[in-house]
Amino acid sequence: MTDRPVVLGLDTATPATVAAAVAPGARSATRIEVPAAGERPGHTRLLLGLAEDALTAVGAGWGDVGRIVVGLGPGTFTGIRVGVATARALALAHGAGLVGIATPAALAEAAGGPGAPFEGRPVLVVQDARRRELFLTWFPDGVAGGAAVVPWTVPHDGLAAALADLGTPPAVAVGDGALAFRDVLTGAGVEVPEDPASHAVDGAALIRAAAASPVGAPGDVRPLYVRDADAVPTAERR
Amino acid sequence: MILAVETSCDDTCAAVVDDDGRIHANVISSQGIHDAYGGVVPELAARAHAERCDLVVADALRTAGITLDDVTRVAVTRGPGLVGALLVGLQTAKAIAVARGLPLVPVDHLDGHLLACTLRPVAFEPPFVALVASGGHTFLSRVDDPDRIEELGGTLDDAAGEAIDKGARLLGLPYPGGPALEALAAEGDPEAFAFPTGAKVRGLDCSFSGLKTSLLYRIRDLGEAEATARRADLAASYQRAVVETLAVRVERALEQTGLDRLAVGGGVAANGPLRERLGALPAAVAIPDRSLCTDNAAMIAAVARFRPALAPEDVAGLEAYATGQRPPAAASAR
Ligand SMILES: Nc1ncnc2c1ncn2[C@@H]1O[C@H](COP(=O)(O)OP(=O)(O)O)[C@@H](O)[C@H]1O
Repeated sequence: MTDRPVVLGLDTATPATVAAAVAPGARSATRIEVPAAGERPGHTRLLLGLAEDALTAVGAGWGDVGRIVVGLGPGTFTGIRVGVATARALALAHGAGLVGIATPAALAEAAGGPGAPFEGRPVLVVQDARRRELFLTWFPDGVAGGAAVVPWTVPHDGLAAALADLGTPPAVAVGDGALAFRDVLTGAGVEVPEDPASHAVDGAALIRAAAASPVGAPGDVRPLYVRDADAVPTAERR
Repeated sequence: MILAVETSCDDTCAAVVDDDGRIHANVISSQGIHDAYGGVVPELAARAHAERCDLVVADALRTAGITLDDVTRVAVTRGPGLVGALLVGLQTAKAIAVARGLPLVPVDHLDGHLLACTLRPVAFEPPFVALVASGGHTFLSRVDDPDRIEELGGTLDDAAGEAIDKGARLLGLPYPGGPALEALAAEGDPEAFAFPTGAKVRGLDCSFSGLKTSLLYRIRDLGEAEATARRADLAASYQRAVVETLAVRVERALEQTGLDRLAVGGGVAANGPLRERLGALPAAVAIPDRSLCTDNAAMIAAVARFRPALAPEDVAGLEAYATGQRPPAAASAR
């Protein structure tokens, strides 16, 4: 893999479209496009262009990519599928290794990973899940804990109760849901960073968060929906 | 070699076709998860595509005995269809094209059904009238040239396959109803009941809603016991009405255009009585193999042979269009 030393990171679980490239010698480039208020996410339109930009910025081309890291969600169903389908096809195109990682791991890495402001402290990732719900992902031992990341949903008005159920209080909460529910979180003694960038997915953090993850079979790299599709078999209706 | 990807509905498809229209691989991965829901569930379809689209592409390359090094163009269905489903194939094709520096040809799904018969071994050449009748679409077009396609008529309500499926459901048959209805109809008398075919309605558009309602009333009037006893007759007469509705419009289209060549596509083309009825028309009739009539990627490659590739700088940003959002460019290209 040394002849293809570049790592590409992609995430489309949140409204932002995120790409990053890391090349040897600590050269790295991250690209993020956030839709303007009221606009729809531009994942399909933007993702490949941003990825190509990031690669160019580190002096690399598609053929130099040996490892692709993709955020699996949770997020919008369509968004995470765009990321996963793109990453799997890119891996096929040049035989690169593929790693899928839960998107909240990237948010947690940026807040509590090595060298980050809350290094080693418990992190709660709170994401907008629409339908008046939030996705919560809990990193009780910090991001280095290695525990399997299993996001779950709570209704908006269930956040306070969910915090109480955690046992250990989080040191910090990040994610768009943390921004939206800052009052509830700070009221429970959880810090919510002021800087909006702390609440957006950082492509470089996504790549760092997956550093220890082994390359998997592409067929095993699947979106992390958390929720089932709304569909009822005919036999169970009425 | 053209590598094509199609994910507009519930089949994940990839194909390899050469520039002469010879099929080297035509992989269709049917999801088989929707039958229990009585129809395609868009979110489930999109999920299944995302689990396997790249694997289906790899399978097509393997089946054709080639690698991406041998591919000279990538083709993909841009629409119309279920947008969540389309996006999976679109991103897959775009990513391969961008990463490999290959030209990308966006293709309209309906053009695919129209030009499927141009593939070998059928290799049916324009000009011809084409009937496409599937679960999602029913229309008649005049194809003077792969680049000169004019729609002659469509359906005012249901697609023919939808009418078949709804009729089958009224008769207590499982979804999708086509094959089951055909099997039951084989034991019945197609003259037993007179169902409407709109033969007196002029023009080339068809309508199936009256037919479906008429079956519903007939079953009600007969009463449960009698309707059950005469299920085969009802099925045969209903099927006959669907076939006649289509055949009458096809006859008119041939007459009106003065053409004596007919191509048939779409899943309903599997229907025996329809094939028989159209085959008896005074025209050269081409009905490709069933795998080319239902959704498939070979037909997308077939169209790509005749369409320009996108400018390289436009590939990464290409978006899909859903059913009902067909851009004017796609419509006028037909
Ligand atoms: N033997 C048959 N007779 C009549 N209709 C059929 C037969 N086989 C399949 N069909 C119908 O064809 C449709 C499926 O065709 P397909 O091209 O896969 O459609 P779509 O993908 O648009 O749903 C279904 O409505 C099905 O009932």
